[in-house]
Order: sequence, then C-alpha cells, then structure tokens
Amino acid sequence: MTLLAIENLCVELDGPDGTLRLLDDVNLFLSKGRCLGLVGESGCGKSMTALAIMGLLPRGMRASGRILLEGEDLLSIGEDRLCGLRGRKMAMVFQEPMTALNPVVPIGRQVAEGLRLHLGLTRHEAELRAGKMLARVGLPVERFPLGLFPHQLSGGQRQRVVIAMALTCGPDLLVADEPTTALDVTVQAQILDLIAELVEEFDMGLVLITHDLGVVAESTDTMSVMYAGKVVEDGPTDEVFQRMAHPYTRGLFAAMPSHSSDLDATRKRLTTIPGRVPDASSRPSGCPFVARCSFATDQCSDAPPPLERLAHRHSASCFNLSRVEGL
Amino acid sequence: MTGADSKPLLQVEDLVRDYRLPRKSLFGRPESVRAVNGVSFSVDRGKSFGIVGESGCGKSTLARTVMGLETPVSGRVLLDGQDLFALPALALRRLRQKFQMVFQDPYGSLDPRFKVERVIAEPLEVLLPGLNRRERRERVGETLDSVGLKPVDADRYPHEFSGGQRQRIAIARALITEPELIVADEPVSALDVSVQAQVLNLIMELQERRGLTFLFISHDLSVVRHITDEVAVMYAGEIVETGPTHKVFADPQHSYTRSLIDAVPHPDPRRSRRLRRASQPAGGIG
Amino acid sequence: MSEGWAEVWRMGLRSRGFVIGGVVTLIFILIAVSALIWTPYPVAEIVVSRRFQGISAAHWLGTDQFGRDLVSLLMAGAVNSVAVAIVAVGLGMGIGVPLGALAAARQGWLDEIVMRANDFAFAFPALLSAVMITALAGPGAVNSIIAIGIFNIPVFARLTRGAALVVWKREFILAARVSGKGPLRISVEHVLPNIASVLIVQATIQFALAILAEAGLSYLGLGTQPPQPSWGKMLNEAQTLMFLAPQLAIFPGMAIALTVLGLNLFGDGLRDVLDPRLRRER
Repeated sequence: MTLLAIENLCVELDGPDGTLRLLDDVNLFLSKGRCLGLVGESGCGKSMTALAIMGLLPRGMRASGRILLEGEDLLSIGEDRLCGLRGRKMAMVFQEPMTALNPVVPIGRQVAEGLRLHLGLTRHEAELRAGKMLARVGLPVERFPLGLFPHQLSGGQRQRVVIAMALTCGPDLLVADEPTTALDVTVQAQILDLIAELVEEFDMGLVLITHDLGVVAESTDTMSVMYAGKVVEDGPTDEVFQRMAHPYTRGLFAAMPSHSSDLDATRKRLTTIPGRVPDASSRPSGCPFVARCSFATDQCSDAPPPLERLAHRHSASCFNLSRVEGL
Repeated sequence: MTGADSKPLLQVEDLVRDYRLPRKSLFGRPESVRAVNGVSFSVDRGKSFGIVGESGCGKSTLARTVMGLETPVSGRVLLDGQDLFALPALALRRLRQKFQMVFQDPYGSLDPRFKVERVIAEPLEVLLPGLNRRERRERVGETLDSVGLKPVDADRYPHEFSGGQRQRIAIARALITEPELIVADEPVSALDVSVQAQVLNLIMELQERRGLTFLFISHDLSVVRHITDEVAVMYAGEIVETGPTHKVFADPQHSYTRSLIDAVPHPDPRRSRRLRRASQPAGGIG
Repeated sequence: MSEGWAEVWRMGLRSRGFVIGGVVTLIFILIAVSALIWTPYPVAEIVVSRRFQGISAAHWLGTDQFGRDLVSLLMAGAVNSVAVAIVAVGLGMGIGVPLGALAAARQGWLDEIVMRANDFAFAFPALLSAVMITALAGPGAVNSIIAIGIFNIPVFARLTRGAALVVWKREFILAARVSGKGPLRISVEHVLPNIASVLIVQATIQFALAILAEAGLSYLGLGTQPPQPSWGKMLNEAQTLMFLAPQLAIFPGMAIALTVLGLNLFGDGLRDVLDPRLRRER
C-alpha cells in the first residue's frame, strides 16, 4: 500500500535577489516495506526533500504541493500534529552520528526519550525497551550499558544508536540522509545491511538519500535521480541502471572510477560531466542540465522537458531520450 | 641521468611514529599510541603509489611524515637518496621544491584572505624570494593554465570558486615549484562524483605530461584502483599487503584487503548482495 | 580587500548596535579631536566670579566651583580619555598579541611559561593592581597608562593564543609549512590576518574598559593630575558638592557612561558584522 506520496512539491526561499526555487515540482512515491533511493550531487535538493518530508525546513522556506503520509497531507497540518507524527510515524537518521546525538546524555536515555514522549511510558519501561532496541541494532546491554556516552562509541556504533532512536516508536517511514557517508566502507556495509533488515522486519518505508550510486544499487527498490531541484529520472532501480535514460544519470555513472570489472582500466580517463551544478539563483529557464549536456539542442534551453514515461513506472525528463538511448 | 632513474625516487624505511596521549593521572607517564608502525615502501620515478585504509589506520600521519611535517620516532624517509630527517633545516626547506602536497579539504587548504595568485605563488616565496612581480605572475598564469583555470583567476579570492576549482588551485600550488613527487592526501574525497572525475583526469594527465610521481592516499578503493600502479593496504598503522594494483585487487592475499574490497558497493543492482525482497512485479503499485 | 570592506559596511548598516554604537563612538572621538584645537573657553581659565552657574547660552552646561566652563572641561577630558585608552590598549595589544601568537606557534614550554604568567596576572583584580602600581610608582597620567596597559597584555595574549590555535589546525597552515615557511612567518602571514577581526572586536571593548579604568584611577586621585582635566577627576571634585551643584557630577558621569556604552555597542555590533562573514568564507 502507498505509504508516502509527494505531489508537485516546490520549496521556495525569498532571498535578497528575488525568490529562489530550491525544489521544483518533485513527485515521489513509496510503498510500505520498500526502499526509495534519492541520488544526486550536493545542491541537487535531496536533503531539502528529506527536511520537507519531516516538516523541518529552515525558517523562511515555503513549501507547496502535497506530501501525503498514509493519506494525511503533512503540509496542511499544524506544527503540533507534526510533532506528534515525528518520531512516532516518521523518523530520520542523519549523516553525522556525533552531531545527531546529545554528547552529555547517556545513550539509553536518548533512545528512551521518544518512548516516554510519544507512548507515555515510565522511565523504567522506556529504558527496558530502549535496551531491547539497542540490542536489536547490535549493541547488547551486556557489552554496551545504557549509561555509555556517545563519545565512548565508534562512529558505526553511534550510527547504530541513532538508528535505534529513530526506530523505538516503530515508525512507518524512515528517512535516512546519507547515513553512511561519514563511515568507513566496511562499517558502511554493516550499517546498510542493518537498515535493510530493519526495514523488512518493521515493514517500514525507507527513503535513502545518498550520492553513491553503488549504495543505491545495492539497497533500494526504486530510485529517483535529482538534479538542480528536480527529479530527472525515476523508476525501479534495476531498470534505471539498465537503461540510464537521462544524460545526467549516464554521466554520473560514467564518472565513477573503475565501475567495470575491467582490470586494465588503470589510468584510463574517466568520462566527466563538464562544468558544475548551477546554483539555485542561476538555473537556466529550460532543462537545468542543458549547459553540461552533450545531447543538448535548442529546444532544451527554451523550456524544461517534462517527465516522460519510458515504461511502466520508469520515466525521465529529457527531449532527446531516443538519442541518448541509441548510444 | 639513467643511473639515477633506476633508483626509486621515494624510499620509506621502517617508519615509526607515535602520538602522545594526555596523561591519565597527575604523576603517571603519558601513554602514547603508535600511529605508524614500521612502514616501508618505495616509489619509482613516474609511478603512482596508492595507500588505502580506513580512518585511523595511520595513512594521513604517514603522508605528513613523508612530507617532513612530522618527525618519526625511528625510520628514514629518503627522497632521491637524501634522508629528510638528517638534513639541516635550511637544506630541507630547499629540498621542498622537489616534493609538494595536495590536501583533502578544498575549503580549508586555501587561506581565505589570500588572493589565488598569492596562494599559488606561496611555495615560490621561500624558494625564489628574488622573483619579481611580473615573473611571478607569469609563472602563476602558466600553472593556472595547466590545471584548467584561466590566468585572470589569479586576482580572485578562493571563496569565489567551487570545490573542484579550489582543488585545482591547490594542485596548481603544488605544481608551481615543478616538483618530482606529489603527495596527495585524499585529494578527491570532498568532491562530488562528476567533479571528482574531472580532478582525477587532471591528475592522470599531469602525471603523464610531466612525468610526476604520486603518493596517493585515499580511503576510496575504486579511486586508488583506477589511478595507481602500485598499492599498499594499511591497517592499524601497518602495511598488511602491497603489490601491483591490479594484482592486489584481482587476488587479494590478506583477509583485511578482501573484506575491504568486498565492502565496496557495486553500482549494479544485479550484483547486489544486500537482502532484497523477491523481485517485485513491475506492476505492483499501491 | 576593498570588496570585503564594502560588504562589512553593508552588513553593518543592518545591525542596530553597530550603527548606534558607531555614531556615539564617532561623536566622542570628534569631540576629543576638536578639543585639541578649540574649546568654548580656555580649559584652565579660573574665573571665580562666575562659579556655580547653571545652564545658560554662554555656558551650555554651566560652570564649576572655580568658574571653569563645564563643556570645555568635558571636551578636554575626552582628549585625556582617548589618549589614555589608545596608549593603554596599544600597549596591551603590542605586547599581548605577539606573546599569544608566539605561544600558539611554538607550543611546549614557551606556551606554558606565557600562559602561566598570564594566569598569574589574571589572579589579581585589574583595577586593584593598577591602584597598587600607581600608588607605588607615584600618581600621574603616564603611570596610570602603564598600569592599565599592563593589564591589557594578558587579555590579548590569551585571546590571541586561543584564536591562533584554531587557525593553526587548518590545512592552509600545513600548506604553508610544505612551502617551507617557519612558524614565525606563518604567524605573521597567515594566522594574524585570520584572527584580526576577533582582535579588533576585543580592542573596542578593552578601549571602553580602559576609559573606565582611567576614570576610576583619576577619581581616586591616582591618575591624571590637576590642572589637566579628566572625567574621573571631575567626578571626584563634584562629590563634595553633590547637593550644591549636582550637575557637576551628573555631566561627567553621563559622559563616561555614554562613551562606554557606545563603545560596547560598537564592539558587539562589530562582532556580529565580522563573524558571519568569516563563517561564510570558512
């Protein structure tokens, strides 16, 4: 069943030089028990989307459109109601486990906090359940007492605590914003495994935000590629990887070193995407990718291309899809 | 000249470096932790040598020690046969012309108060204090050109540039002395994928065009695999495996190397080893 | 750099404290400067016949017990305050900043010595020690300047060291070391320019404190000596006449309070203006 549906989400910010459109007509869709990957480079709007879902946009930003969580529009309800939903129905895991944890509060109490707030449990009950949750994420009480402080843990262990905090109240939606970017590659694999297990076990929906195509390929069912505040391609992960319909998706993939198992790849030049992501203040009126795209035609700078359906559930926004795929 | 070429440009011999920890009690001796423990390797002229490892394995300490920025407890670093730590300060300063460094953070490694020209010309200030303004400008212009920036960029401040461009500026600073060895400590890990590819291409191009030797330090296996000839895998301050890059990646001998390689996610959904629900029917919406 | 300062100016106009404090400070300095060339009446002119006059067109703020014009006295007192504060803060910065920068650059035993000496100086209340110094060395403007200056040294030394240590951890310092530069050269070329804004803000605040300290010393009779006018001295003399001519105490008191308030507002505003710029530049 549909868990999260984002329809025509726009986020705008009034700056000194006029209104900036940070997110432009974003549509996303996620079912229960599934994982949606949001991929893109910095400044593409993927973290902004996460904050919009959680109702945590910085002051001064205006969101329009609809964000439906189990049919309830998060953009039209008040802050009180949002507070009730955050932590209980939807939860978030951040990139930096150290800054997401309070350094002077023991981990047991931090995990128990949500239980006491949302479920009204007593301190004792809450800590008991917090202990179970911590054990579930791989921090059994015998080896990791509830009284430990965040600084006594390693980066990966801290991220486990953050995950336990997010999951204590059994949310339906988990938003993970670059949950493994700050971690080592071996720890990253463990944390991603853990998240995948928990998603299945708790039958949650997961929005996984990452810049790493490898992570997306390994841990998501569907994916959306974002560029300059827009979704440029989305669909089932295997299909997107197979077809790479949008030139940006292609470019992103080609720019990764040694993605093939070709062992003589050493010193071969990587394919690059020339230039860089345009700022929110200097986005072209047509396709946002036009300046960096090798397929661009005059049409591309005139008007933004619509999301075109390629197959069931797979679509991309490009005027030259046939030429791109013909390659 | 051919005789010199057969000798490795950089030789690191049994390097040991400790860090002192804060003392636990008022009268206790402060304990120390061994960050680099008996590391040896050598890099031939014109080659690219990679050091991979996870955070805390000592690779950055190794880089700084090789650069002569930190003094080892024991061991030697020989550049072109000269022991860095046996040289008097002035001679070491002069030798710095031959080996330069590129840092990880393109935001932190450029002084925000210096214009690009001054940033890039900084190594010349010590080496060639007699250089006049025009010559200096010319050299900066040439170097900017060789890293893909424009000579007019010399008059701008670092904050006017993007991360990738800043890293090009940092590379230009390392190139201006026309060094033989460049030690690059995670030079692309702060950059986005598409920009990372541009900078990696630049590094490969410079290496071929100028015959540079690179000591390339990174946590990113695919990057190291792509641009190095030889690689050393570091774990807890020691090199656990070393050899030609393609060989180490194709047939890793040490279990740590193997787990490191296995942990890298592949951008290919068909090879995914993570639990996935059985292939969902394509039409299974809501 | 011109571009940078233009931006500081633009940001500054948005900060209320910066504008108000800046205007008050500017007026105070203008008054002090103009007093060097012109006062309504000669400052030391004693005309007993016109003593204790109230506010009038001829004497805007009245006259004191010797018939001296209060406006002229206050203007000349401003000169004195500015002079003392500039020299005292200059002394504190001139010695404190290099000491702090050196401690941060060299670390180790040098750092220990400088910082422990600092702690020692901090252990005494500044004004009390200034009283002690002037009492020992004899009262007078010069001695009070030295006394106030000495207690500015540790303030700047500690501040400089703390800020410099943060800069020393940045990567561009490593880059400068790779370029072959020594710690002293790096301190001058990289560290000090990057902590200048912090020092400027502190200097403004120390300036206000120095004016207060000078007034305090003069009030106790240990600072500026008559016939040279000073605000603290004026307060002292007005004390016994509080009921006879309260304006003699009120006006110098207001002058001190306004100036110190203005400088503090200015310093706080400056901090707001300079800091976000630094944060953005990173």
